[in-house]
Amino acid sequence: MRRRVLSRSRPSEQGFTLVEVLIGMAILSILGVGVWSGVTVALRTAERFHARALANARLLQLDDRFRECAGRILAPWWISGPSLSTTGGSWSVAWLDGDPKRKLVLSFSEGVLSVDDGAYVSRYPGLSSASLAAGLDGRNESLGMTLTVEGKDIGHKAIVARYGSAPVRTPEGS
Amino acid sequence: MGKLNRSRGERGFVLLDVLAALAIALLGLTVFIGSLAGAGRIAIAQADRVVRTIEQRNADAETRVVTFPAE
Repeated sequence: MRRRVLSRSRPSEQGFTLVEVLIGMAILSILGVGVWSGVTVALRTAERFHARALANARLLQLDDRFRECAGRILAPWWISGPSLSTTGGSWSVAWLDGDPKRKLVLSFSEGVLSVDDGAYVSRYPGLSSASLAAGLDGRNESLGMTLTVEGKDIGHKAIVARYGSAPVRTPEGS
Repeated sequence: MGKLNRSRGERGFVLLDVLAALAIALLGLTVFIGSLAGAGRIAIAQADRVVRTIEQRNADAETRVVTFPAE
């Protein structure tokens, strides 16, 4: 009996003791919590990167669409420039495709900017604010429009687009 | 011989096994974090490219008209 007790007390033949198991579990728990929090932070960062990439892709699409529509504003030379009318969160410019009755309409509502050329409406979500103003050159003559948008993932951006009918001037002496 | 076998059988994993498992887990985590960092760099580069494109187009739109010498 005495010999047996002695042999059982040898660590190499005892298996894990409760204390060893508890210490092992504690170490693994600490490691697990560390890894879990690291993975959580990494996933959140990846989500932010994804949202930012998506917002920038949308911004570039908006830029393309806005400039393309502005280029289709073709007012005759005898008027000083197409006038920009504002009603609430909506802006419109006449002389789309050279027709005084056709209008390019931009509207901003509930974080979504819509660009409507009468045939197709493009929507750009994820914006916190948007505003449209006339773009003027150094002589205070209308050259086009300035669209200012703001969003969480894109910051504050201004897009200056020329009207298709805006005259191209050359420097004096050239 | 029998003593050694018994010891190993009753003690579960040896330290080397545990270290190997931890190394594999660490490698997986490193690959995961590394791929995220790569994705982040791509997103930042894309954002910079978008900003540069818009600024260049704005400059093109403005300078086609505002090319007068100061009066």
